[in-house]
Amino acid sequence: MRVSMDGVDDTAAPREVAPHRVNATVELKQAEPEKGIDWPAWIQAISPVLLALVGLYFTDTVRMGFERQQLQLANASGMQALLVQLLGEKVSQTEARAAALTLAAFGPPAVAPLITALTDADDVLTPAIEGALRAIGLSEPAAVCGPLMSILEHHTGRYSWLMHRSAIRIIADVRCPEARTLIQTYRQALAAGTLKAFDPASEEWKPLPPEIVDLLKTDVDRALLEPK
Amino acid sequence: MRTAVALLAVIVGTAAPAFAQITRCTAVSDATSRTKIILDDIVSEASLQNLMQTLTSRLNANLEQVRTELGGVQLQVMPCAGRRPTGPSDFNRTTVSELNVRGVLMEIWGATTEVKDQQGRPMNEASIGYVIIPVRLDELQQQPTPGAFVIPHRAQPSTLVDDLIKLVDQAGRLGAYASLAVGSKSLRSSQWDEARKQLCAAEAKFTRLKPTDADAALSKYAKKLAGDAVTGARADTQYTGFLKQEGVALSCS
Repeated sequence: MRVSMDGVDDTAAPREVAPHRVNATVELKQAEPEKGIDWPAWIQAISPVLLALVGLYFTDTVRMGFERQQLQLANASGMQALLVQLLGEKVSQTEARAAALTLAAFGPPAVAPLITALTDADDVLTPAIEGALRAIGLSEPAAVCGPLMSILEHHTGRYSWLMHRSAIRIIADVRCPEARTLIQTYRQALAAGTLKAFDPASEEWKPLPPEIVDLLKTDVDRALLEPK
Repeated sequence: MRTAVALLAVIVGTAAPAFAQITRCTAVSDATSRTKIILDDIVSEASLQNLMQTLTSRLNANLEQVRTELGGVQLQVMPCAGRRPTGPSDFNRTTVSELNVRGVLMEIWGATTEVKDQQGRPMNEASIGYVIIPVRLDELQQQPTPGAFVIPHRAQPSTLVDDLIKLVDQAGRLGAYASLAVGSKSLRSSQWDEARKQLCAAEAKFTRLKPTDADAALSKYAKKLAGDAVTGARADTQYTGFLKQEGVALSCS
């Protein structure tokens, strides 16, 4: 049985080969466009403002970072002349005090160079530098306490007992509540006689002489007397 | 703003001190010596350069003599060129404490100058300043004995430099001061025998001097500390030396 697509019996059709005709309706459907998130209208309205704010934030962050670097550079340049003056071979007490206190005006950025200068300071430099670190510590105790505590914690031989003495004295004058335990431990080490000093000449660790232990004890006791 | 403040402070700081004062000296921080005497500049007016040079060399010779006399003590005499204290008041508690922890026993400075006496006659003056560090430390804390002072010596300009230098000759005085300084420092570190020995030596040396007011006070002070050395030794449970013996008197003689 032949079936026509349109139901017409075509037996009567001439028996010649006729092309099949298909009458079909092809409905071409277009793909539906994907719908985005349906943001509320108010968000759409403020999105340019949000975008601007985010842009501003990033711009500001980059600008602040750049300015911070510029400030650090300016600080370094400003401090350089003062450090040259402070560390001058023939600097007097008055000059050293003036240079150190001016360095203190730079605030926390001056702590690192001042502590480095304290490492091999003499009778003229030590009081000047201690005074400058105290001045910074009065307003920014954390900036001063951390590095000084680090000096007392790590006995590498790099820092002399004179440096320890200065650190203890400044900690006593600056509000460093977290240093109390450390200084108590230091006092115990002094009492037990376990503290040693590195002698660069012989490259050996030697016990501290009794008179130096007494000097350090005086400063440690004073530091622990301070109300924290 | 900060830069402006910094510049202003530098200008103020550098403009003011054109006068003499205590400056840095590498000898003070020399860690190889724990007992040292610092010899500062001898300051002189232009017309008295000759006197200054003679005074400097004489002081050096005196100090060398003291160093030899103290024998067992590893005492070093170190020059500090350019360091010019203005007077005893420069040696405040902070400065003296810093010198003490660096093993400085004594600091000496000097000046030669032209002055006028009460009748207005011109005189040459050679002044020697001394600071005996352990004594000065005590002076700034409690006791009245002077630890820093200046001894002036005057002579008429017609007097030969050598004659003035004889007046200034400090060998005996320096020896007494050095013994007192070593003894006082030994006492602080509980070295009773050395303290007693040096303090008694100081007392004896003071009796041989033509004493100034300061010397008289220092002699008394040495005597007292010599007694303290005996008392300290007796109280020290770890000490077993001769000062514990019953027969040892507090006084030196």
